[in-house]
Amino acid sequence: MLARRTISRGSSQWLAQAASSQRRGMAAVTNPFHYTVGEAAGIKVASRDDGGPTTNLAIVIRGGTRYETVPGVAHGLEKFAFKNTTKRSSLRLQRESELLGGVLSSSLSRENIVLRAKFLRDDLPYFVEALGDVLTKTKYIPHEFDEQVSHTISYEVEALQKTPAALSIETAHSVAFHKGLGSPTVALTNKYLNNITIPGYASTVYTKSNIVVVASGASQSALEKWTTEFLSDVPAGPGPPIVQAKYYGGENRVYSTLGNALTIAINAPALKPEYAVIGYLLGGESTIKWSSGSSILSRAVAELPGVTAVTKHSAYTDAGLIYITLSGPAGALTQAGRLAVDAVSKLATVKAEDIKKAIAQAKFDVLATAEHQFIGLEAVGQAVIKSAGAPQVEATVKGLEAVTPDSVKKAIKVILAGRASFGVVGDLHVLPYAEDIALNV
Amino acid sequence: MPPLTIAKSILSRPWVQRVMRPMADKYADLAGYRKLGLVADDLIAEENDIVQEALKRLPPKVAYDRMFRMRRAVQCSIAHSLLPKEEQTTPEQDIGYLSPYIAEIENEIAERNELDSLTKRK
Repeated sequence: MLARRTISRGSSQWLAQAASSQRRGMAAVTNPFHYTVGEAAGIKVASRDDGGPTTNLAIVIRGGTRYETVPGVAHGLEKFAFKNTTKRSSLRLQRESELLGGVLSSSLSRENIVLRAKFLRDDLPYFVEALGDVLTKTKYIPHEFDEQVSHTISYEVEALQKTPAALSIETAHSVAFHKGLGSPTVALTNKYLNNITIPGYASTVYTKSNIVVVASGASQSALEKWTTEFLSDVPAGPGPPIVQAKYYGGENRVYSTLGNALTIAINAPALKPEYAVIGYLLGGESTIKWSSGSSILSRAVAELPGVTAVTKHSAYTDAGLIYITLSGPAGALTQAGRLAVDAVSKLATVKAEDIKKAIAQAKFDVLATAEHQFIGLEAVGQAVIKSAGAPQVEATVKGLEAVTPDSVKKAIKVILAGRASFGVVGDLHVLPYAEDIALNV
Repeated sequence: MPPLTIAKSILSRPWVQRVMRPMADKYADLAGYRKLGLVADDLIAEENDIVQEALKRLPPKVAYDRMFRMRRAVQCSIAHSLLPKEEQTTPEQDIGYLSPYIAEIENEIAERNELDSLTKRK
């Protein structure tokens, strides 16, 4: 039997359509990117109301792998989301949310644990309650860990270890930052995970000042009201201590029979729009179907069959990395690595036209991400936890617009002066050392 | 199907419970398993899926102790002997360590059956 209120809420969905057309009319006036930040029961709440019929809700928790107290505990805690609580079993939660047409998920990054729900607009109270229960009422039963959580963990560990490109990024992170940001994003061992460490970490990170409720497609007043009702029993506390990330750099090699990948990571310390632009400038991934693309890197490796190059800029709260991942046949990767290092060192002489193109791409991606109901929530939550104000996308875009070829060249000079981090995965007999591709580590 | 039992109706009435308690204690003592060092939950038939699942969920120490008690009891049975008085189970030691797990699994199955036949009320 379902609780009566669930069913009555479910049936009221059919009325949602009639109401939503009116909301849409109102939303046309407001800025669709703008998040409002408020506070309810000591918890920060951010929302934007785009007037659509569906809502995306997330609770962002500052408790990603960089804060973990023992190896893998963040991954263990993330996988315990939506398991049995004192209020309802995981099966019931699953069936009830299916009945309401909702989708529940959780994710883990180096910075955050994120609990997410997508659902029809009128079911907001049910899902705020469901996400809130995860924080305060999860039972952390040992046999649940053995029967369910540990299997999902080992599946994700296996998936990582069978993806050389992802593994080489992990390796590069670990030599770049050692502990903290460098710790692996999965629980490589179950050794430290038990019914003391996981609930212990939960009580450290699931605290009022350490979480933020973010919603896209919900009204701020409703969100604050339901947060007060369902999340006021989250304990108060400071959250995990912040250890300033420090960049080291270096080289690490991992043997793998499952493929070959190199990651060349460059330290991009402060959060400057120039670094994002450099990431797009190097590029690698094609934006046009069936072509190898026209960015600097994709032109460089176009001659090598089977080699793919991808550049990403990862901005963390107090550090950043620009990394190039090359994957493909082992024999071609030495040459590809040389070409990539060459391309990076020639960045200082890049054409203004290329920079303009990179800025346009960066701007598009920022806006597209902000517009997306689901993807943007984590970034908003992270910014709210850090500075109590939601990042407004206009400011980010303005920052990108202010980027000039000169400022990019200045930033390039700064990052090229430092040591790189080099992660190699695959057939180590063939794959190059940093020295072989003239990389300074 | 579980055997018919009046245990629930007895436990729900404190005065009946007071009357029955000494008789129950005497019965458990006469049943003789305590003299072999066993506890009542050791006697639960384990040849079914529910109890097998419950046994898997036991903490390692508890599962080890269970196995120890059983092997000791089998040994006593083979030797046609009883344990010395100080090694026999006392009523205080006779705690249901397995039945809570069984009850939990039964609840889970009941809940699943209930939810599997759920329909939305129009």
